[in-house]
Amino acid sequence: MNDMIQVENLTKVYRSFKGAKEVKALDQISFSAAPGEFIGIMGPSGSGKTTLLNVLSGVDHPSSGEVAIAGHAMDKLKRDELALFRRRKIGYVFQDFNLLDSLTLKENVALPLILDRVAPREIEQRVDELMAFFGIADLANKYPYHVSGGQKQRAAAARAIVTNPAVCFADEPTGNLDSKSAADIMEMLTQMNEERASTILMVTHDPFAASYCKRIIFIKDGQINLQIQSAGDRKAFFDQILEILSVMRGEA
Amino acid sequence: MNLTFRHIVNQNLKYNFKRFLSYLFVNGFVVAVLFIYGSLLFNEKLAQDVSMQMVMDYISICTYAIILFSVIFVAYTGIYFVKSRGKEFSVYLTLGMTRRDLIRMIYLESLAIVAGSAVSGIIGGLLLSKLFYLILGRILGLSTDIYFISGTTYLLSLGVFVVVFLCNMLFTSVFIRRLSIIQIGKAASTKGLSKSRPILGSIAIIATAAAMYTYYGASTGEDSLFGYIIDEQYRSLIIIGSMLTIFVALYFVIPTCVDVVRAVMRMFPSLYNRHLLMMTNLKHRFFAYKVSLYMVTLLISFAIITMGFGLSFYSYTQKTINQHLPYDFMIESGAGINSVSADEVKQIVEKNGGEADDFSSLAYLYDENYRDYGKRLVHDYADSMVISESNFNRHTGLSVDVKPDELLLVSSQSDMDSAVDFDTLITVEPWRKGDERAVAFERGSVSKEKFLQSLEQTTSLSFSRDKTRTMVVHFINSYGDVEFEGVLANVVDDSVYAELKTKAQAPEYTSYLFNLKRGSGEKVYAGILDALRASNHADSSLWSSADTMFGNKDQAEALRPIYKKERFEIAFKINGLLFFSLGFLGILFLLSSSVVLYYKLVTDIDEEKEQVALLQKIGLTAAECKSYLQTHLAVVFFAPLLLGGVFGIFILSSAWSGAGANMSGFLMGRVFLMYSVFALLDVLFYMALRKKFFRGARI
Repeated sequence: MNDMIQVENLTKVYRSFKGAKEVKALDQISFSAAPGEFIGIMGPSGSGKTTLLNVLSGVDHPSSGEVAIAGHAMDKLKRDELALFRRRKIGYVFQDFNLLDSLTLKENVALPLILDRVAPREIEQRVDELMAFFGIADLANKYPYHVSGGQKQRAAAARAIVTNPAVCFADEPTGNLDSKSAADIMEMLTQMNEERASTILMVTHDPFAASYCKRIIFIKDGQINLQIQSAGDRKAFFDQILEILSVMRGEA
Repeated sequence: MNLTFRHIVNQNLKYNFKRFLSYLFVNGFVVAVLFIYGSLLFNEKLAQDVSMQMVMDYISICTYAIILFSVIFVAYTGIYFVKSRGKEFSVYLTLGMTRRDLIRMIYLESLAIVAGSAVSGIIGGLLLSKLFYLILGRILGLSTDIYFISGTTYLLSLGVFVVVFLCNMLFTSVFIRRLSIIQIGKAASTKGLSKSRPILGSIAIIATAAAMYTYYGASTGEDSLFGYIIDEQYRSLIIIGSMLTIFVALYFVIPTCVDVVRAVMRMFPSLYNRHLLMMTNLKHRFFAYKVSLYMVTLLISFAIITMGFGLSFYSYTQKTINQHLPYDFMIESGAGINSVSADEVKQIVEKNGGEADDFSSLAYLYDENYRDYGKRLVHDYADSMVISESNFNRHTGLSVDVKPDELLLVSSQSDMDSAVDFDTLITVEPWRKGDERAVAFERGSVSKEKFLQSLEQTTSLSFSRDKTRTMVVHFINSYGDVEFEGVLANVVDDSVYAELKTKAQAPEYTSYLFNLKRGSGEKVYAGILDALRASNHADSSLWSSADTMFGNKDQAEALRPIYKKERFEIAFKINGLLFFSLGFLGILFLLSSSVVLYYKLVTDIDEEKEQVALLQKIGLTAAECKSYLQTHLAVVFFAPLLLGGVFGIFILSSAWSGAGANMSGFLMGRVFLMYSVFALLDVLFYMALRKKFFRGARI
């Protein structure tokens, strides 16, 4: 039970609505992630990637099966406990950044700590350090609408790990970025993973972004289709991903 | 194309239905209120009522206030409505709709709203006015049906409304022509971001403080402001100017207050962090906040002022009317008018089946009082008279002793200062001459020396301040004037009075004051009127109306005998009417403040929903979300209540401490009671909307 993420027979069924068929978004999925892993979840649209992420992060509830993050069974937690758990143990990077427009970048990064009533001096220290780490220290007092998408995503990443969470979830973090910014942010996530030993689970359909991962789980129709491990060479891993994707597309 | 275009308009109407509905409701409401007050202004049946004639000025002021208010209010909601849809409009423009088409679309929508508002407003107005007139009839004690809607009323309400709408349309076209697609795209995240304006804010705060000072000074009757002596003819101008300044400056004071709060909180990081979301939101959506806070503050203080004035007038009358009218009847005789003797009066009473009680004849000379404060001489404009010591003692049953060099100032109103810081100069001459001299003095404000020179042969008396005493005795019926002009008596030694009487060429007046022990007051009064008309060689056209202008002591019309019951009825009708119409206006302001709050809430909910969803993802607990939303709501609800309350109560209390010093405590008690009711309503409304807010934000 040393795994950071443990998923057992996870199933999520969307009830039929207005005569439409029942949809099994996740079907008996099981996998686990060790501390410090960088896992990518890939799959075509509608394969259940985002549903998986939502269930893992406690935003959505599974129909059956179990999820444990850092040894805590998510379904045992009450609503408010879950909120606190998310705040302290889970970091989240969104495709559309989800920064609050009313806060400066620095305040945005500090928000989880502020919500947790951490002492201002400590907040200051941690946030400054992280912003320097992500190379946005000089943008501290800028508002989200003043900076570029890449800079926003760096701030979002800093926010995700400011509480030193057990796991960091990333939902298409490069989806809204140009290729240069996408590469930058992936470098950052890799650095986060390697230097700070953050466990990262990233959902993406961008093979380039996925090539930064150490392991990739492909899901299709709610089930795990395939898993591959990076040997260390990113270029080779990238080619491997492309190949698998084309095969999967062919099957579809 | 036409069909497609109309289709888009229809779709738009359908999509924005809820917002249109509330917009329609607001406008309909304004039309309804305009309609009711308009109908009052043009009501031919009411125009025949005496007390209605007397308060017509107030009613028209109310109506103009309402017209002004509706212009501002409808314009505000209209502009806000168009502005809030900027994003939608920019999408149309991006998709290639021409600005002309867009404006045409908005015009068509507006037309639908105008028609809807007008129809629903007039129907609402017709229904509400039934109720309005029912209550009004009760207050006026009228048995006849006073429900009357003149055609002009329809024209007024529609006319004002259409004018406002045309202005809004003008604004819309300017707005759309200037609309920049790029800016609007960005506007979603930057809209309402405020720049701090410390200089403007400081100026506004200083202006507010100064205006409060000048308002207080001018309305409490201070003689000078900032060391400058107030010219009486500018006093009301100063009062109105100060009020305007206060309310305009408020617009800049509110944001500055928010900035100050933020700056202060920033000094305490943990406190600031705890309220980070609220504080940053305040700054970020500042424009919307500022406008709603300002509108609501303004409306609440207006509600307090209008309702407070109505309530105070009414309470004041109720409390003081007996003091101002101590006798059932009063007949003033002099200068050849109402030439009757005491015995003749008694006979008239008996002849009409009554019996007089506490009968007293009080003789006096009319005079003009000037107060010498050393540096300046002021005319004291209360009606004043000189009474001999023994006459005064006989009439009041007191036994005051006034030495030849002494003066006893007796006021019939209970706001006489016991400290005397002025010497008194009294001039005695025929009433008209004395009055004209006083008016000229006030207008010219000549120096003391010049004035004294100008007196020449006029009989006058002077008394130094250390030989002057004051006293409050309700010794006479104030002249039946509905506003209860106080009467000032200069009680002097008998020898002084006797000398004055022979020297001055002024007639002595006598007031016969008595109560009725038995018999019908109406019959006795009718008898008195007839007998006095006969003695004045006048027909029934003299004193045909109770609405007499009192004051001119040399005209028979102004010396109408005073019958307490008649004055009572008129006073209560007038004050009741004032209370009702001002109260109604106050309720209108209060309701509008709720509408603004509701609007604010509805427009905020969508933004909050997004924000809350995001915060929940980050890990905000439900309780934390609620507390954040609650603070947000509480600021919008209670800051204006507090601020509006401070200004409203300040304005009322200053007015009362000037006008009815001894009663101000009592009146302010009433006003505070009223404010508590406002606060309670606000709390209830807050609790109701809080629920909606939480539900809307999906907590």
